[in-house]
Amino acid sequence: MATYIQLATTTVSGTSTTTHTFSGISQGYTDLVLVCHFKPSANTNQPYIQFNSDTGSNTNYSTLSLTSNGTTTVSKVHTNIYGWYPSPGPGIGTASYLMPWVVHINNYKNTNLIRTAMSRFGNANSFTNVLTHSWRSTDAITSIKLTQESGYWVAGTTFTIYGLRAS
Amino acid sequence: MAISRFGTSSVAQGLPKYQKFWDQTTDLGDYDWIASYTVPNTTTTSFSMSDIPSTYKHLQLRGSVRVTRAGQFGGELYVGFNTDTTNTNYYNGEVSGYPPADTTVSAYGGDDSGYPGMYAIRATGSAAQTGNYAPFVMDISEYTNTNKKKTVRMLTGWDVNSTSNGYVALYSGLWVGTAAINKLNFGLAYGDYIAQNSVFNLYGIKG
Repeated sequence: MATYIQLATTTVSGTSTTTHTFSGISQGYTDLVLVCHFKPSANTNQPYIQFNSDTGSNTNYSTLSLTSNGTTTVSKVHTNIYGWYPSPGPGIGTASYLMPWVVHINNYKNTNLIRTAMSRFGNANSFTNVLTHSWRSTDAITSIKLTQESGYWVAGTTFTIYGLRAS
Repeated sequence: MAISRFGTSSVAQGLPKYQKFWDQTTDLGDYDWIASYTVPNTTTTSFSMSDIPSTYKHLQLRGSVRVTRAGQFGGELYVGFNTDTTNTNYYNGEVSGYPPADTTVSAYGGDDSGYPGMYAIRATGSAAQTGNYAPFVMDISEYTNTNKKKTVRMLTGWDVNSTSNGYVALYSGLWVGTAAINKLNFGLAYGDYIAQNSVFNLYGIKG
């Protein structure tokens, strides 16, 4: 039986989509994989994702990144963002292309564990990143909000969520 | 594989030369679950996933791992294959960072001479927040191809509340063996026990 199932997908049109939320996420899977192909509307519009409407504190979320721009490679902690963050670097808003961010959320409903993930992001003109994330909650993930500090997602942006079932 | 839709009548009639028609209902399953292991107690130091079927092209191992390791934010597991316990048959390379205490980046490559496997799976340690298990995704390419040595790609890391050392890495591994992989062996490289509730899920990907 197939165990890698598309749960939902959306494609952005126009210039008014500032946020997209996948809600009512099925609890019938083991892992989630979120595949984003996106671009914010400006360089300063840092993108991030939140869970289950938890917007209360940026200390609930953090991201560690390993980043190379082709010349130097650095690792950083990102704690001033109210969600999981791809650390896209400069030029994200002015690039002429959409950028991929694939987030592996293992054991998204296992209440023995807090929510953690590995992800990869690429901006071919400037950065390639490997990232790890944590959301300090043992709550099962039932919704995912994709947003940014300001502005909107450009037309053609796609967000797709898959469920993987280990049974 | 290209899939053609056939009329239900032709399937029902069972043409003798073409018994493998798609019935338009059966889920073909290009990505299948093979096995899972959840650490059941506080005294586990090793385990294996055996009898891996040879009917897939690639394997993917996914999970969340923690070790018992007093005073440490991290630990590590190794992974070996089949019955090969010769330490020098396993190699690894990694690009890794340990923010925020160390914002520089390390690059490493070489044989894992200290362990009978690739020390590939990073784990959180006892100093990490309760319930914080390190996520990982490991891809094992062409695991049944006997013309090729077996190679691995891995995403691994942990975030420990960002006030102390975290770890994030892109990892590659090599087993010099060419035999088809039918067993994965997990053991501790750094840590006393694999923590209870650590999860390992193995999937097969058809090609």
